Amino acid sequence: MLASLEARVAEGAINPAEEREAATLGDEFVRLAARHLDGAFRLAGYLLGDAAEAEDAMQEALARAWRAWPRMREPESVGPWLDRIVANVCKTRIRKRRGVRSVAFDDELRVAAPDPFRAALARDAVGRALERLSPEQRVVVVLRYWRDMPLEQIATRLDVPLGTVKSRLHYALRLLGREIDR
Amino acid sequence: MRFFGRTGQETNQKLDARLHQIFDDRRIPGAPETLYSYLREVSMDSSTDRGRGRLWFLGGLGRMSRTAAALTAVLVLVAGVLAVTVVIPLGSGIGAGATATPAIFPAAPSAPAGWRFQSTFGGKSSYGQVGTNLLPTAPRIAIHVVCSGPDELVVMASTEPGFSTPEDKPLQAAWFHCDGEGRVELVATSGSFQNVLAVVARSPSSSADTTYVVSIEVPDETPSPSPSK
Repeated sequence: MLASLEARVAEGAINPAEEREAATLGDEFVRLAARHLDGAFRLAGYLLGDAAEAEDAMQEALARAWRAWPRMREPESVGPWLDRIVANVCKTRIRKRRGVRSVAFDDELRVAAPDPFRAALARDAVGRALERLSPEQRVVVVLRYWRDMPLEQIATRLDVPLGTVKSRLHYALRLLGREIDR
Repeated sequence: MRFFGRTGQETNQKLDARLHQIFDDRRIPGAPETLYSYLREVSMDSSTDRGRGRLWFLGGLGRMSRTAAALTAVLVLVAGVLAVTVVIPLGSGIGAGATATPAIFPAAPSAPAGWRFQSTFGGKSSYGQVGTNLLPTAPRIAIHVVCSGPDELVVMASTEPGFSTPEDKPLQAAWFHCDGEGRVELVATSGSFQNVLAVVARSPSSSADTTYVVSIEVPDETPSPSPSK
């Protein structure tokens, strides 16, 4: 599926100058994206609550990021940029689940190694209630409490107004707070 | 910042603490090695636009030729859109003959004697969990699965409403190897089964998708026709 540069050069689709340019672009992309890969993977994991699906989502996000990389004007802000792509991919995946809830495996049903994200979220009622949040609310909660991000920074990262972030967090915390009061 | 106008400060603090505890990174591993490999692999893909603008492939032409070529491209696009929205639907309407749509999921299996088909759903290992509510609910059901791929499939049936599963939710589960067809009958210990959920137990080494169809069957209690007098 992925046409290698060498093959494209052999076909005459890319000339040697373009090859060098592409190689430089590719090196830079790998170097900068790799620095943020752990964080982006954890973001996907906390949003989706499933390590295997987070890996799939990350592959999709990396492919999107690479396609958009030539238009990237500020390589130093690749972390926030990658986070935004990951958040968008995850939101789409959560919406596609439509009406279907994730199910924590019982001990007897545990398949292989326990899923760390599933385990973290299933640990208590608040974690399980995260699943009831909308994808947009979930992204805000994860960035606020996992990344410890100020609300202004979350607004910048998601490219939404500050008021929207405050509102999403307010309603999310109100829902989660009910679990504490129970 | 106060997030709760009327809720107590104590709740707020407890919630803060719980959320920080849930999102504690120390228990979560970083990205798997496969993702680093994928990152290197994806960067070898030369199909990006390389920042040359949308019409980079016209770079070698003069301005007039570029305009003409761009106009031609637009015309081709318009023709393509027309073909997709008008011609193809006309050609594939009733009486237009069979269309060659490839089947994504295997066909649902047929119910054995004494049982009748109630509902079905399908899924792919990359789509997480898939489930359905049973309408009407039934105290006895059969889970009939056709599954193909490298993974295994766990199908759970519950007598409680909803797909969320608290620890104490009564569940019955059946485990299928994805090497063809399998069937199991379940009897509720109390009440009736309300929903069925399928989860792919992904093999750590598998990269291909597993596709499956879960068919739910219920006992066929249709009274047999009474003998004619």
